[in-house]
Amino acid sequence: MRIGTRHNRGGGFTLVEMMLTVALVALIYTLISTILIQIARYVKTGSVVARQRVKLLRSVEELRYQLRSLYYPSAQVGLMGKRSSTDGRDSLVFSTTNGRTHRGVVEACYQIQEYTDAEDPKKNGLALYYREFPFRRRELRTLEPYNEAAWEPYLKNVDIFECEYSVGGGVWQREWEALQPPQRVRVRIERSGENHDRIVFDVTPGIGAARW
Amino acid sequence: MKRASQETVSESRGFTLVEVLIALAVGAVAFGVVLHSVGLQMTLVANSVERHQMLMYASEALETALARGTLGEEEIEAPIDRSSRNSDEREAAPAFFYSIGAKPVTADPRVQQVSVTVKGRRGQVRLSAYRLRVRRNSEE
Repeated sequence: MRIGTRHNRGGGFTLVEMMLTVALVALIYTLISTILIQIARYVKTGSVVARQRVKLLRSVEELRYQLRSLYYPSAQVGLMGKRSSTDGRDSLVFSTTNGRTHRGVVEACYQIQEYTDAEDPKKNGLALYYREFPFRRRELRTLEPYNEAAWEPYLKNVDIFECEYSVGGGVWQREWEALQPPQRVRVRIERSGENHDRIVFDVTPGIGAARW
Repeated sequence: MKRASQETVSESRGFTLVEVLIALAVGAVAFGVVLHSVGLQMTLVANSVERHQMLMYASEALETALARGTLGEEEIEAPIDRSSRNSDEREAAPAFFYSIGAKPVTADPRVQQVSVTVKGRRGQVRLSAYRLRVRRNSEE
């Protein structure tokens, strides 16, 4: 009996039913799209951060590799570390090999410098700069600008690059200018900002390029 | 005959409650899988630097231990302190601890397995290496 009455009534929905359905669909659509948009935003920022971190870790490994394969012929300065007047802006010069190209011995220099972006002034800030010379001269160059190799931004948004040097491991000094390279070098690289990354590592210079 | 026509009528009316529930459950499972993978990726990104830092500490500890060569069978546990002079207020408590120990391998007691575990705030990393202990002056 009930089936019959319903069937007789049919042929379409009432206005109330339609409005209810439309309202429900709109509500569900809004909810799901809000959630999906939020997820997409998270994934986007996450991938940007991930790319920055991959760059950071890769550069840290590169610096570690270069320090481990330090080249110091006797009676020449193999490693020179200087600190500037501002904390966290050290510079490091040493002769080593380039881990990416492996083209003989180069003189690698690391230093924190001001970075200016020509297109987007918002990206200005400090960056870790890098340059390398082919190893031709007998002595390490100083940090004055030379024409043959320009400083290149290596790691952007890095504002602390500190090095410490030690002979036995007990006493650490902030500068190194002796003839022999130190037995331990401690490098601290920090990036401030919303994702505060920092990495500290000790290296025994010249221990060899093999990694675990 | 009448029965058959009734069934077709009831089929054309819409979904049953069970069908709707099953569809909702399948949708929820798919959405949950997507959410889970997104969350996993974000955790990996968030922990990547600390994990790399722990790996570096572990590799340094392993290297020093292998170079020093004096390692007993008991596990040594120590905090890792890398605070420098001008940043010691930032590192009040050491965030990383490492433990190192060596034990002989069952197959050949001359071979030692040196293993390092570095514990951080959000997990730990374990590295190990093997070394062969051979006496220099073969008295035995």
